[in-house]
Amino acid sequence: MRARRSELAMALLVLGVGALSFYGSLHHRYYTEFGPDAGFFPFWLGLVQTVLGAALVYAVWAGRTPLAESRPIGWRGQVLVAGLFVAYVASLETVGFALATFVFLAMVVGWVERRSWLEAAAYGAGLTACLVWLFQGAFRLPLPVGLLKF
Amino acid sequence: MSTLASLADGFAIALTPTNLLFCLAGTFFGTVVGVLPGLGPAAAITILLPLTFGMDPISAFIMLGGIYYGSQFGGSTTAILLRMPGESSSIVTTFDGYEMAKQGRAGAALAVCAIGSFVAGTIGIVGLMLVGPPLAEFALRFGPPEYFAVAILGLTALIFIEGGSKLKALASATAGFLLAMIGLDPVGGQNRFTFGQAGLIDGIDFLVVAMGLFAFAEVLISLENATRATPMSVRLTSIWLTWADWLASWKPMLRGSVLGFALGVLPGPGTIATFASYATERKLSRHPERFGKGAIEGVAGPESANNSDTIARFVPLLALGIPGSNVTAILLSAMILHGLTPGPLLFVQAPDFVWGLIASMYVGNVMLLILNLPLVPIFTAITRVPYSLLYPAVLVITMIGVYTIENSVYQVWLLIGFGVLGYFMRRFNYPVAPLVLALVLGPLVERSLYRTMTINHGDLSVLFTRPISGTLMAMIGLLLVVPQLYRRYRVRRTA
Repeated sequence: MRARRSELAMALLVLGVGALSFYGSLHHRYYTEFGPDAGFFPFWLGLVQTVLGAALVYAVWAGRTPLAESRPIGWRGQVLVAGLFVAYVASLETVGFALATFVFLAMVVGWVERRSWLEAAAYGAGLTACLVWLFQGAFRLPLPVGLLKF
Repeated sequence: MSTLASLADGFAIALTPTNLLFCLAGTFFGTVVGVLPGLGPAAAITILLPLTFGMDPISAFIMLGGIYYGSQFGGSTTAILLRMPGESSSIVTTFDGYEMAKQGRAGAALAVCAIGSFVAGTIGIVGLMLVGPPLAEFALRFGPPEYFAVAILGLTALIFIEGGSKLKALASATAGFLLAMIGLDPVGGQNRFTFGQAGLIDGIDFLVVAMGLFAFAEVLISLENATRATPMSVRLTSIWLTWADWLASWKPMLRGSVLGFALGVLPGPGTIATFASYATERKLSRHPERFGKGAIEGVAGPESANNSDTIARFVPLLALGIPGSNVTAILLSAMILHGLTPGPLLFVQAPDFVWGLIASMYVGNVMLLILNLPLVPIFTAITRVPYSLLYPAVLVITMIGVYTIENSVYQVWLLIGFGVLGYFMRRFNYPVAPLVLALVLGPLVERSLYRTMTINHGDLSVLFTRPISGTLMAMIGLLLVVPQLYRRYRVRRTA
């Protein structure tokens, strides 16, 4: 039941993207006297995606498609890591690359992976130093600088 | 003669100290990537691509190419020692390779992989050299209808040859095309699907999508099943073949190499070549019952097929500018970013690049053979690196790669979005490859279609009436019809 619901949600997403694209394509001119215009290709793509989405919804609803294996999302794994990564990206331009990276790496290793905090801090500091040296020093790539100017 | 002269020029480029160093770095890093489950060549190449922007295109592609074929070499090590294929194309190697390892013949299995890969790589490169230039010359006759047809043929082959739900694969490809529509349209320069976001006016960068779908999603998937196995201990002295092993494996190596090359030219997953080679060897064997129980032919054939398949993927990429897989789609995008125009004119406009790259494959192949056998203990030790320390680094390096494209955090937000999308696509068995390929081919398909229609006053029948495009469209039709007929035939036969 849970697998079917998840599969149905995914099929509805395909249908929604198709319908939205189809609707969006109507805001552009379809054809000119010389040939197709900006709305031509998106119109057909949106239509095809909508039909495919509807077919997928029907296939799931009618039990005509094999369902993907139902596995719960790992809150400690995927969600926590993704959440920490989102926080990391959000903080990049405020606290800068070096500090944000150190905190992110230490949090993942210490909190998510449950290693000792000393180990996590050493890993975070070591890897951050290597990355700053490699990308900023050796490759001269600009990395986000925060209020602390590093 | 001109091919040999061009190859000689290519060697002069590939053998410069700088390029040798990049070739060594690429093949070594590629092998490490192949050894590490959870980090594929697609993710590795996309992560490293921004670092190559400041490099000479030839050096950059020598390194990126080395990562690609090096990863195929490395994938077999974990397949044999841990029953854990580093790459999907090494799955078949686990059938007999791991059994050989259990019987104390891991050294022979690793040696036949290395030698088979070398033989296949060499045959593949000769094939690339012989097929690539004439195909490029032929493709100079292509107009918009032919380009449209060849791009759709590539995508159709990928969708219909690969197993799984065709509906999901089609939806994935259409989503890729729709993503390619974001930004300025190629005809009138109108903004499409930008939702008022300035960051979307130039479209979505292919690298952002690739890194999200491969690197970020790969981490999320790997967190679900980050199990570790204990590698077997392999003594360095035992890594070689007996005379009986040589006799049993030379024919499978040659057959696998030819089969891999033939299938690699066509779009589709690399696993097809390995499974086809395994099935062929089993069928031709006088003792098919030994397969799955440690038959060396079951390792020699598929490993050779795998490597010549990898090299063959460069044929449509270099000659037509049409990628046939995830990795070649990324390489195509990388060529554009490096200011090159992939396609038939590449052989004319940038012969140094093409022949330098081909020659570097010879060099890389030799490097892999020399490096890999003695370094097997080191590569197996790499598998002991805890995944818990590996994935945070992958995430940060991916972030840096995406940020440096435009020095913008906005791109990193898109990366997260595509990472989550990739995670759910893989959870629900929506193939990612058609999306990636359609995203790369989208502008070409749209431009070709518009030009075809504009030149012919909206008449699309020209796609079927011109000889080359007509043939290509007929091939698309066959791809759509033949598998269905074959399935019906099998059902009827079993009934």
